[in-house]
Amino acid sequence: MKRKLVSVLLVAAMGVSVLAGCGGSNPVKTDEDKKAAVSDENVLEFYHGYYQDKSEWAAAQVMRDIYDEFAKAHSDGTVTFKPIPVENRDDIVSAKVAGGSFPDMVDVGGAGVPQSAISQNLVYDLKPYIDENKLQDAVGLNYTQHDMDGHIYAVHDQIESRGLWYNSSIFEKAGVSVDALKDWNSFGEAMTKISALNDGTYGYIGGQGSSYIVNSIMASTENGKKMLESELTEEIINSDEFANAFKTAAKLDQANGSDHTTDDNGNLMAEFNTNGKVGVLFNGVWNASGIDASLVDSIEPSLFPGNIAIASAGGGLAVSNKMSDEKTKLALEFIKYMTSKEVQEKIFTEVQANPCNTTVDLNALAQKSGDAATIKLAKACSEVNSADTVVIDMNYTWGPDVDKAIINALMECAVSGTDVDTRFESLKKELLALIG
Amino acid sequence: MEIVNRPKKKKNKLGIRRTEFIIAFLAPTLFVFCVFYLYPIITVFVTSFCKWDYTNITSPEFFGWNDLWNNYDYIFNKYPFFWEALKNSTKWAIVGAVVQIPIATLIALALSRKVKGIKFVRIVYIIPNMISTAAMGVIFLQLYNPSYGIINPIIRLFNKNFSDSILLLKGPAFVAMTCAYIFFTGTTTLMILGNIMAVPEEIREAAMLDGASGLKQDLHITIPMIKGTLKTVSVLAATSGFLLYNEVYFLTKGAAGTYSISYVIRELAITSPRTQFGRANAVAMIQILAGMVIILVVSFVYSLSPKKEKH
Repeated sequence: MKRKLVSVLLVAAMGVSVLAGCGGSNPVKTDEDKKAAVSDENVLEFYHGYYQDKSEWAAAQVMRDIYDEFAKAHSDGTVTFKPIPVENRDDIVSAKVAGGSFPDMVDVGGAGVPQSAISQNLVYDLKPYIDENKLQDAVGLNYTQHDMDGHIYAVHDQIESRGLWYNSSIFEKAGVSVDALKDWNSFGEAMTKISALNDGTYGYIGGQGSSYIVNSIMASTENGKKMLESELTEEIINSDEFANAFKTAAKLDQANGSDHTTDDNGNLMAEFNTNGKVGVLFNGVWNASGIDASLVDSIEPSLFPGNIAIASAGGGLAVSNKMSDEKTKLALEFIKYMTSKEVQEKIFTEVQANPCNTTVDLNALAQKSGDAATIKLAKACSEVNSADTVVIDMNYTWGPDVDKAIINALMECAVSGTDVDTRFESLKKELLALIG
Repeated sequence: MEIVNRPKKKKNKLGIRRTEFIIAFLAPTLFVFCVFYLYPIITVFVTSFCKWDYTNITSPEFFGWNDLWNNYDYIFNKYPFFWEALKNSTKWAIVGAVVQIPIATLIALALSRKVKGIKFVRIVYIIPNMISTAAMGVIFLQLYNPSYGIINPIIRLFNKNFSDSILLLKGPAFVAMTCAYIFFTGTTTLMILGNIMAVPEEIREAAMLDGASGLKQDLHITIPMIKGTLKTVSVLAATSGFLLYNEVYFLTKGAAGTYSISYVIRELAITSPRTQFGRANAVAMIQILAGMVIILVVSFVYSLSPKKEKH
């Protein structure tokens, strides 16, 4: 009897636990609960990706300090600014958007503001605020590149600017001059000469880097550039411009070898920046801060052949469309702060990135700092900003799935003996299906 | 007319019948099963017949009876990586059951021997299995690195001029990917080992008296007695092979014909800027069905041998 009674009580306890776990919260709120709820409504949560420790990445601490300064300056307002560093900001955004909401404010990474968020009207249109406050120069490239049918949904405080970096010592050793970077034919010949040194050095890091070759070759014609700036269509996939760009890059990759190919530049970057084993690295201007002290004098920035640069506003600061006026006001104030000259100068000198604000004199700041990496960064940024052709990264317009399919195809072509034409035909089919 | 006195169902003093008691105990589990398993599976099934992407992310839209199979049509006839992924995942499922289980069984049989130092060997064997599959992916990425990995120098012993990345060669890339997970049989081995240990010692002794050597004992006594466990671990190995994801993500991202079904789901739902949940769920539905087929096939294969014995 005793045992059965205990069993009944156990079942009852389990049942109560399940119901308690699944049931809603207690409707009777205490004063503290109410206080917390009210304070939640008055907190502007800002998710960003600068979570790294200072020892791991000093720039992350600089960005956090910039955010904290803004929070401190607005601490006596009705709304509290709360920066939240997270490693998975894109996942947070995806999860929220799937549930029909959007973070108060987020520094969107990856492929930018999700289309699903825009189509649900979850993201605040920043254009009227930018126009009203005459922030066009402050937001720079964002103003044109992020314009979606007259709306701007994000402002990135840094511009993802890409060119190439070359090792002048290796060039010299291989008997190659900088003129080799003027067109892709001479580039290919130069890479062959570098590989022929037979001392472990090789031309360039392919794979992800090769996608920028495709990007820049496309941009070398007016028509190709237009294609990059629009959504991928069947017409683009079947165009001569795309075929030429892909096949040129694939042939260069095959000559360069699949052993120097990666889908993520980061995997092999040390071979260029630290070991000095690679002739060319296709990377952004921020690479200036990664160059080993022993190689600072050898490594120089340059543009893609044809005086072409890839610059993208990318993701950036996006604001929820479903907030109170007070919170929205503070969010907009933050965007103004992040694009202000004062903060942008810090982003350049301390974060070592290309600021979006076009009024910042990068060279003057670099000279003032006297720091070798900053001077190199200024040189790289200036080159990108004054390139004959500046084009967007196709990852942002054609989508990351398309970009990845192109990178995979290029990596496969790097294997000796691969038939580039056959692989290109198969890529075309893949891309047609991906946009279908 | 004969009156049959049926035995009355027993009631305890609280008036609760045995059946009700069982139901009461099962209820919490059933509730959790329905909420966390059944409901999502039904949702996946229903939404696989819906238009559900970035344009209507919070409100999936039923295609209607005329266009019911839209998502499946896209997956089967248009999506470029589906068949490749299905083929690969099926191969990994087969390899999981056919290669991994015999390896695990042999190791478990070896570890069950009462030899000096065997406890230490067991611990050493289990250590690599504590590493997550994601970390394993990263480790194998280093192994296969053509510049400093150890695989390319080994290949060069036979082919002097080999310099390509093995992960970019169609065929070898699949083998390389398989090697990254197939030999890590720790959990499976432990399950089999536990069962081997449970075989009564008297039976072995009796067999020994009948003149059965160690190998004969394993073949005719141990293995038939642990058949139930072998069936279970075969299902687990085949399904985990079919669901392979981390290795694809870390090693190739689908290059050189190495897409898997799980990776395709991610591509459609996450990587695609169009957030194609409906199409991803169509693939997920196929994955669920394939899982059921795997269980049926393994059960069928294991049901074959007793019949043979009877004949």
